[in-house]
Amino acid sequence: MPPWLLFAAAIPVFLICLPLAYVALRSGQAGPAGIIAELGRQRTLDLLLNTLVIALGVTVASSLIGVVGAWCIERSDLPGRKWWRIVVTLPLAVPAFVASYAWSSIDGAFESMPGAIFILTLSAYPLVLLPVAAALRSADPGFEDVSRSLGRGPWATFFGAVLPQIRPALAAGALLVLTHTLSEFGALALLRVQTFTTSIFASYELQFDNATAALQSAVLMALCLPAAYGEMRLRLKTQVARVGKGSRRHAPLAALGPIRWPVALALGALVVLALGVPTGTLVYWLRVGSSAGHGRGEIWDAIGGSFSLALPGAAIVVLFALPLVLASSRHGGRLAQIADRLPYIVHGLPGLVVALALVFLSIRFAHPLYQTVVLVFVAYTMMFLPLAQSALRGPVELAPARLEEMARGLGRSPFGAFASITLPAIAPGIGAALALLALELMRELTATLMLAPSGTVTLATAVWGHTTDGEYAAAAPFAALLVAASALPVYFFTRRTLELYEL
Amino acid sequence: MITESELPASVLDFAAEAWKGKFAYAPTSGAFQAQIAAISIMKGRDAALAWLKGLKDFGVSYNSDSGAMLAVEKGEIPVALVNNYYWYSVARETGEDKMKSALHFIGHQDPGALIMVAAAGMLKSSKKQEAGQQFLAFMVSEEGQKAIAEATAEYPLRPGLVSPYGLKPFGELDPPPVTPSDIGDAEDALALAREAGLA
Repeated sequence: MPPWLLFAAAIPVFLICLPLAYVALRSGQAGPAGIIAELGRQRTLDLLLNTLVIALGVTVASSLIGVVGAWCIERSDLPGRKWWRIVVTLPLAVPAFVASYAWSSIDGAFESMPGAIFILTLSAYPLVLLPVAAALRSADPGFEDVSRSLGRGPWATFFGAVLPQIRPALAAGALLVLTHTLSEFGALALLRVQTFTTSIFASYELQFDNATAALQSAVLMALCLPAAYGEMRLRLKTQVARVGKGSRRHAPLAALGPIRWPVALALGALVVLALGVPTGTLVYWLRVGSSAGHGRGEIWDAIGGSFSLALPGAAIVVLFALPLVLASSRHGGRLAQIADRLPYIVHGLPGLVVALALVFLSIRFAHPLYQTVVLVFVAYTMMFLPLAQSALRGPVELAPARLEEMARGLGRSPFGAFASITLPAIAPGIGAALALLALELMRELTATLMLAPSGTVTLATAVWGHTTDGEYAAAAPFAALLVAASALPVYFFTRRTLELYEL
Repeated sequence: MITESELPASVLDFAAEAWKGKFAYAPTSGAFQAQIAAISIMKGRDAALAWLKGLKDFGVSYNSDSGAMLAVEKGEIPVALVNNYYWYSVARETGEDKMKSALHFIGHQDPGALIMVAAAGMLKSSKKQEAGQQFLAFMVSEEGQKAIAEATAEYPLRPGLVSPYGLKPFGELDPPPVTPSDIGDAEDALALAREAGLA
């Protein structure tokens, strides 16, 4: 591997060690006795219980909806199947904190644990439904035929022959939901559910440098990282194999019979709850707000603020991701593999912990950086590398390495060959990755909220600011723009998942 | 939802089972830290701790004073402990005559009648010391105080100025004898909140 590539790949690896350094340093200051006392507090146990209840509740509920929904769409004679396939993933376009804002503006009763499980499930179930639907479509119906011909009923066949084939997709989707829910902050804070993330944020607001926050971050990381690691392992291992000769035929559609229309109605209700209610509420508040006529100038400030962070942020994240992807696809080897995969594990780190670590470390060791956009970009890099990596992998693998080798043979330097041959070939892919990243960064709330220099307003932080003050009408235009900006990332996710699990 | 005569005489009384699910507070607000410190100074540390534990068991916690204020206005909860000006910021949006909630001043030198000050300061490290000083001087000048008093329903600092919001006269508040310098940096307030399991 050329040294410049090695160096470029080492930077992100260094960055993602920062949160671990922060937790180790700050907890270390508390001493062993302090650590034990803090972890043994009733408060820590309460938070642990709440965090686990919400995370497992959302994961189980999303998995149920995901499997049943995917089966109905892919394997039954549901009316309008192709149409449902697209519609059921649209709720992903509503960021969880926007959905929470919408529901809590309808009734204060949603600001509770059951309310939070309900709302987060509605925004997370597509993460399970999509991969399971893709797996069901590619699963070999031959196993089911064998099972039925040996006298098993439809249910036994589902559990014995279908479920094992979709299990990797289901598990990866469920772990993704688990990781997201464990690190969710904005939605849970708005819904007034006390978990590790909301408690860490509260400690930070009251007192910058807080041992409690560091220790709670450590516990949260211990929950998140294994889930993220498991998800990555499953995604790498997922290979749906089929045995036997000939080409695969399409699975026959199960006749739903008398429940055909009730099932369609139930799916319709799901989409209404997950997408219709949040967007409808936004439209309602937009109309209320425009009659009140406030916040017109603020919109432009927030759009400007969002772009000023998201555009350079996207460029920086892509710049850091490119060497990782190049290193793993061109040069291989253990080191490249580790550098390539580490970000996926660290993706499980909550944005809150990343931001807290950067505040702590910059104040101690790099004071001029504190309260500058540099910290925001570092946080974005740590959190969004995996997304940039997966967006870049396709284009990089399509660019033939042989052309670059030829340029080397003709005397170009390693970097020169890359810049003149490979870079132009992957430029369109880079462009697409930049657009995707920029839109995804606009949705980011937590790190932006904590790290953006005082006075910076973005669409996401404006929604947050107005909603925590209960100004629902004032928050609506910002939230509506965010939902609109989310369409492209949702499209990308849908396409990528379908490609990944389809044979 | 509740009438003024049903309200207790002291802010301490809210931390009781009788108020279960009826009293909103914002444990992460700065004002709440000052409130804890005032109770600790006037009634002792144990009383403050008992109060916090009572709130944890029976009160309803909100993210911010504005959130608690709005919950009262929407009828989700009968009472909230907030600074006086939050009521006016809601009233400015909905119109004072349409407000369903009302301010209640505890008075009679109860800790709940605590007066808090908004302060301004400048960082030693600031590169614009002179401009900063000028701005601070403007904030306490007659013109600056007028601007502040018009923007928010807080009591102006400068004698002779009266808030245009029609606030209860400052002289009638009957606050407890606790000053901002008694409260200090509220370090112990945070320790108390942690002991009570609120933070």
